[in-house]
Amino acid sequence: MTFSLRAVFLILTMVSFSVPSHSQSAQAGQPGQAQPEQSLHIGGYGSFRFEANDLPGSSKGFTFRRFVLTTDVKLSQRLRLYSETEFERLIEIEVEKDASRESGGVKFTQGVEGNNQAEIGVEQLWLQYDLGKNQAFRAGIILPPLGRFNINHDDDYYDVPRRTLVDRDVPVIPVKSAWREAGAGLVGSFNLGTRAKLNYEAYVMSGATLNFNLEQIAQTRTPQRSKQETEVEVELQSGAVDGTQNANAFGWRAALSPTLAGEVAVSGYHGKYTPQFMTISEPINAWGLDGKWRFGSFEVEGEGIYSTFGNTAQVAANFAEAVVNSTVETTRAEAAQLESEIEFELKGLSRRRYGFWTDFKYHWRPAFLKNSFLGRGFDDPQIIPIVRYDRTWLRQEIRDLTFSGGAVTMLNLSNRQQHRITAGINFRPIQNVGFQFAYEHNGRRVGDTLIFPETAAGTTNGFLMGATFSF
Amino acid sequence: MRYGLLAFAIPTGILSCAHACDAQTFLTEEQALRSLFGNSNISRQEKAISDTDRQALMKSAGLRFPESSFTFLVAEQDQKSLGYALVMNEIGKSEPITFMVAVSPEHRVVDILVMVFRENRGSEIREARFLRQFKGKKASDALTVNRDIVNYSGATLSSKAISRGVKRALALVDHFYPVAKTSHVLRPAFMLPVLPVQGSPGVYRQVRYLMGTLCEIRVECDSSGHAGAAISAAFSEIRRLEKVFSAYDAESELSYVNRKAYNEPVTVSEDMWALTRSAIRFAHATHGVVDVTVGLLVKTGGRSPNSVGADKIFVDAAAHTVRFSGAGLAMDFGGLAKGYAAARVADVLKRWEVSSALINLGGSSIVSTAGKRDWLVGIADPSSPQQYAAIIVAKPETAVSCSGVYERSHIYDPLTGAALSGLRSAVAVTKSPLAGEVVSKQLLLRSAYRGGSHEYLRLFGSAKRPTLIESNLSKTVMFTTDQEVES
Repeated sequence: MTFSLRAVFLILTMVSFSVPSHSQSAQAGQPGQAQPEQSLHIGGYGSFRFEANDLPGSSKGFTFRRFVLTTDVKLSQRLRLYSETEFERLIEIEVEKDASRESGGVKFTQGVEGNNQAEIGVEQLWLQYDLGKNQAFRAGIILPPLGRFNINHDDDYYDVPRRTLVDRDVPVIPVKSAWREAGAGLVGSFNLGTRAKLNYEAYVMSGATLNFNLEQIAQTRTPQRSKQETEVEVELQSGAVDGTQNANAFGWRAALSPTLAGEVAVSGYHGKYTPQFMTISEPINAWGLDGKWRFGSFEVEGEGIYSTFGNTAQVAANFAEAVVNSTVETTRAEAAQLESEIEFELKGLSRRRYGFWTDFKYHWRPAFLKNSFLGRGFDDPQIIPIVRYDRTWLRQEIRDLTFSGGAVTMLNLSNRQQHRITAGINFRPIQNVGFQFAYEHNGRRVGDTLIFPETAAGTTNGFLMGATFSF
Repeated sequence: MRYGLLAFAIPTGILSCAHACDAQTFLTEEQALRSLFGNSNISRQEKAISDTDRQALMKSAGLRFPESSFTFLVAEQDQKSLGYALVMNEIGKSEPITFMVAVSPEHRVVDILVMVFRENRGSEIREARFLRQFKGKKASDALTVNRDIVNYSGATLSSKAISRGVKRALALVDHFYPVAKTSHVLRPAFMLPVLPVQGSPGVYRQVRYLMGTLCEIRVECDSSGHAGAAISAAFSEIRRLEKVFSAYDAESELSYVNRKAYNEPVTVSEDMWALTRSAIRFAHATHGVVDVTVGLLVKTGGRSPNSVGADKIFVDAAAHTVRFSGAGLAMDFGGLAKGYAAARVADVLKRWEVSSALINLGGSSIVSTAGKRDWLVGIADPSSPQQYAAIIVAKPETAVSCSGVYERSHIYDPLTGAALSGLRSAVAVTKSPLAGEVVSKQLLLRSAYRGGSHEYLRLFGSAKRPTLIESNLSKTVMFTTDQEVES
């Protein structure tokens, strides 16, 4: 069975949805006239990137960042179902299963083939029930509204070809964006006078939790025995969706838009992140301040996030205790010809993480553009020069942890700090397509290595080109 | 690979069960037209777009016009053009948004009404706080998001669609109804710039001579374009009412009524009807102290007191006619006309959705509209009009009416025929400018502030006695009520 992008497009082509022609004669419906109850809008967004940087050993190549297919269904005037299905760096997954007679017995084989770092997932899937004018109940897989990036993460929304440090590369928010959680809550807005508006979102969620990924490495060695290594990478991830986790997190955001020109928002996230196999309970508390303002063609947008993770040293100690107690059986080597090894890594656990990013951009519509080969035939082509500044701090980050007999024997904590400056331009022939060119500089400010990319070099510089689209 | 199966199952399930696109209909064409132009006559004028038209339109607007024809909805009343409306269909993200653009005879955007919205997201563009910024725009404006139009965050494509449609509609009106061909254009209205008020950001003002006095309008707006259009519409309304109520214009409706009504019942306009009815009611309530039949008294300098009396006016509600009991009677609405006009102008500015406004018709009727702004109103000292006898903070929806003897003494007592003496000015702070005019006149003519039980106090429900302000040479009496008074 092969799933590929071809299959997605095949599904799309099977669905006949017509876009009405661009004519003045489209008629408004008449009151009382029967209207179909349901409506479906299929859309999507995606992006590609080319990157070349001065990091030794890095390749200069193309990245298929993602393709997200969205469906937006109005089941009735008050019920709406929205989904986003993400194909991240995914070109193909191939699953092979076979059972055959061999050597007097039956041989079962199963294999999965695919491309590196590929992922497919549901990014959002929620049902919205309108309770009244501008007030609704929403439930499903939602985006925790901490800051503004996570809830506005569409690639074509931004004008530089990489996501922010704060939300993606050095995630200050509990889980890197797009962070999703199973939950339910309220979303809506209130008009304040004739000009101002207050938007809000508030959800109860499963909440981010320490979870693990298993990485298996098979290694043949001579003259030593072959080695099978299992690396258990423990990091904060979106909470469970199978009902095994208590819904113990709460996320909220309140955005005041005094005028149409902009908004200022405060947000928060509060929950427990220690999994149920641990005997302690440590909280995450995160706060965000974000906003966007437009001054004619000039635009400023930004976000600041401050997250605390309780007593992370205690989490490490408890984790060590739990791991030893639960892995005794696993580490007992029974195959004489095979050496087994299990490694644990507590990835990115810091006592405090904070950072901010700001975009400064200008919507430039030079007169020559519409008459040039670039802009000819488009109603409103524009060039957007942009500068972004990111900065992140990791405080008391767990860098090394060794334990013996269930007790921590060495805990190495460090502080790291990094900034990034991105300067570029984005050419948008139409609003939902962008061709981006950017220079990116990452600089280490505190610590022995850069955080992203993880390197001992003090700085990296790169050139990025990207294409984004939505439909 | 998390949620892997769901990733395929959900969209596939949705795809298999969903139906064709639905539309959310907010207004039909008929409803939109009535909302914009009331019961005026609407004619449909079909205009084919030739290749030559198309090229000219593309050149002027910088946008495409693929349609083969457009239907213009032209509103008229009393053979005067009220404006044009076009139903536009512009693609938002993937579906067309159907909306009506109303354009004034001066080719400025009057209003936009979203009729059908077909996308699932972005319907916020229906909100007044987005659509308001188009009011007063003209074809030569950029009408571009991130330039002179602020997009609705999260509905950028819909915002752009509306901007594009408005610009196309303005270009179409300009092209097919060039300004030179429109016969009722109040061009001076748009040739006069509005001036920002120093020290008050967002406040614009303009002064014009109308109704025999200097009229000033101040508005608080997002842009000078919006302010200019709103102020212009306000002055157009004053000018229209001047043509109805002017006692000095032989062509006015009032002059016509004064000439004809002694002989036969005269059918009158809505405005004349409403104010005549109110004036008769006020005359009865004030026992003739405030009486509009002082027309001849004013013209003869107080020599015809017997010509006065509102009981000599007969109105027929069914036929909408006015008739005088005999010759020698003439109406002069004076300050009442200003009060009435101020109220109508406040309605106009409300429709233009200005944040706040102050209408000052010659210092006689001063009205602040709904909003958050308090306005300072200086009350001139009758003996020294360049100085203030008092400064009033006019809260929103407050009328300040001033009657007084300043440079031009033309206030006559309808009961005695004598010119006013004694008290030099009176001020009424009320909810209604028309009621304020009545109160201030009565205060002035009867010097009623001396007592506490006069008829006007009972009539207008004041709980307090009027305040007497004494300056060096004169006295001003001030009456304040925040009660709504029928006018």
